[in-house]
Amino acid sequence: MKTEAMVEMLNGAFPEALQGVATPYGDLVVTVVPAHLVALIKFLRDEEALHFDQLLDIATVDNLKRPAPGAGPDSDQGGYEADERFEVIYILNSTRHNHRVRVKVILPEEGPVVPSLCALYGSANWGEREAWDMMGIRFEGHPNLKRILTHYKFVGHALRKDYPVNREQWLDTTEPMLDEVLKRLEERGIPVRLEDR
Amino acid sequence: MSMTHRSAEDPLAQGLEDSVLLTRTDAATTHLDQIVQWGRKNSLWPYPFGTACCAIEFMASVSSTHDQSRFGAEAVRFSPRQSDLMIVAGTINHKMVPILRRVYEQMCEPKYVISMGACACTGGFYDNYTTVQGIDQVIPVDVYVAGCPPRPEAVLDAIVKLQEQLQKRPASPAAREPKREQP
Repeated sequence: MKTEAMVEMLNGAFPEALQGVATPYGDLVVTVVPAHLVALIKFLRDEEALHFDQLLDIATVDNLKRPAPGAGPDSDQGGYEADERFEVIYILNSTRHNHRVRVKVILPEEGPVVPSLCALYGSANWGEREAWDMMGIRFEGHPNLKRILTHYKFVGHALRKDYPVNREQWLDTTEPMLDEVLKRLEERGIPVRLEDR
Repeated sequence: MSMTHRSAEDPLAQGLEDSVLLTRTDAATTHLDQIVQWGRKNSLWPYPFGTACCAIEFMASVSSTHDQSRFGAEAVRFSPRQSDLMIVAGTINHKMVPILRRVYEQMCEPKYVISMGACACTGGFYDNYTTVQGIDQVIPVDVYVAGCPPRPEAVLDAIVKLQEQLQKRPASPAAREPKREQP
């Protein structure tokens, strides 16, 4: 399916959702208002002609030290606004039609929140946990929004541009993981006595 | 203690020369410390704490081409209870620190540590928020091996270096603390 036709379909279904459309290197990138994100991605997944059945990755961008357009990489003319510091980019793929789309959401500096996609894609679970861990973006409705790469006593979000890259945080004990273990035992019908906890 | 005669070319007999006085009556006298340490140094049982590519190189040094058993250290055990030489082969990140410390504590005295490769020694090129900048901030280290990863010859050299150290140590050493303080 041509990217123009895709944009036309999306514009028809969600006339107020698209903030911007671009096709860098031939791939369609649509910028979406966060309020319409879940409905639009559900549409991308379920519509027969689109059929994006894979969520390949969730990427995040911190624009804190992005230089102004045309300025050199060492320029201190900051190129970002406080209400568009973070970007979350969902990369979708269709195994049936062999086409891809990137859906981008722009989030503010204070309290970046997007709705979770866990109900639509299984792969969103860990992807969103990683985005929370590394960039501090909250996913509303995620079933288990815990840190996934750094340890459970880590403070801050390591891939934010204002986190010093070599600031170490020491850990003294391993995570008990009881919350997840008990849940899993319960799912499999293995009884856990209270005194065992 | 008594032992049979060995020829002069025998490496075992050569190794004994420093610490054992052979007498004419097929008997030998030595210091208890030295004979105990002589036994320990020739029967090191490694525990590979492998977390990255250095562990693959460690496998090469154990396998037949390089043959670590020539130095009496081929009985690789995957239980800290059964081993006395921990070889930390790979990057140690902060999430791994409590595990590394716990496994080290589970080993029985006397115990030794070889820090294998750039990552275990200094953090290597991972100068970042996730990697420990040298495991000697967590556990005491006896021998550091440079390289990324080190050649098997370097691992064997580290074992020989450790054996040389052991021969000079008392048989019942005091428990040791990590060399460097955590920042």
